Amino acid sequence: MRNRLKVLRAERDWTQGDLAMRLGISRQSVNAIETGKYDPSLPLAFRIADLFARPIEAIFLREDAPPPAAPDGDPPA
Amino acid sequence: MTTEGALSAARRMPRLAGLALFLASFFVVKPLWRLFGLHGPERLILLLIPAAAILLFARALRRGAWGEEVVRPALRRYVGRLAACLLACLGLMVAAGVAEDGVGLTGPALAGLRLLPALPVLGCVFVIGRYLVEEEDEYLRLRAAQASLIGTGLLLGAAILWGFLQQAGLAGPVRPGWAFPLWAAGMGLGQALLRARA
Repeated sequence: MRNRLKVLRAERDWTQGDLAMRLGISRQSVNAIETGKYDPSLPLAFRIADLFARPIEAIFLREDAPPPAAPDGDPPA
Repeated sequence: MTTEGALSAARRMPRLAGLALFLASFFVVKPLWRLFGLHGPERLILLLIPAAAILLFARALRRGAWGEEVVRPALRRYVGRLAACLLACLGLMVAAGVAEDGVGLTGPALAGLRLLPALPVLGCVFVIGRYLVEEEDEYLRLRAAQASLIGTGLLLGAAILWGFLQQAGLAGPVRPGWAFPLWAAGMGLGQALLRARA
């Protein structure tokens, strides 16, 4: 599964540590999710979606999915 | 090296020193007994080496020696409980040694006292299980579970291999007491491998 976590984090100028703190998880977890080495559980994916105020499918993408259309003027990942 | 890198390396030092001292204590305590000709209860003073190593290692871990900004509460509790169990094990071993060599205790009382250190070792297994239950970070919990599986696999592999070697007359018997340290070492190795891959 791919994700746009790094882009969304960069847009807000957050470090991995900042995002980890906001989600209540470890920085290692954020790093593992961002690099695609770990796919979060559904509850954590919902928490991430809530934090960025986006639907889950706008953050987490299927491996074979085309690049998402940029909502709200966001640049595509 | 950047300032951050130097700081991270400095934070890692007590952890590495504690770990090295703890591992070394498995191999240096007995030769030191022989070197100094220690036979009575006074030899037990050398068990202060692993005790100091446990404290150093635990203190470093609880202060975030893995490089994390915030040490998670479950990890703090795990390290504290594990250090307590290991120190209790050493303490009970000292007590059994003093009772045997110093007081001259014999019979069922000594046998019972010698069995007591097994309780904190069982406690270590329980503490590891509690960590898996209490860790709220799902990624760290998965990594700990994977590391314990790696430790289990290593222990099983070693036992199978040793069993066949023993059957072939190529190896002697091994004390079953080595099972837990080997499993724990496999777990540590597993954590290191998973960390390197992350």
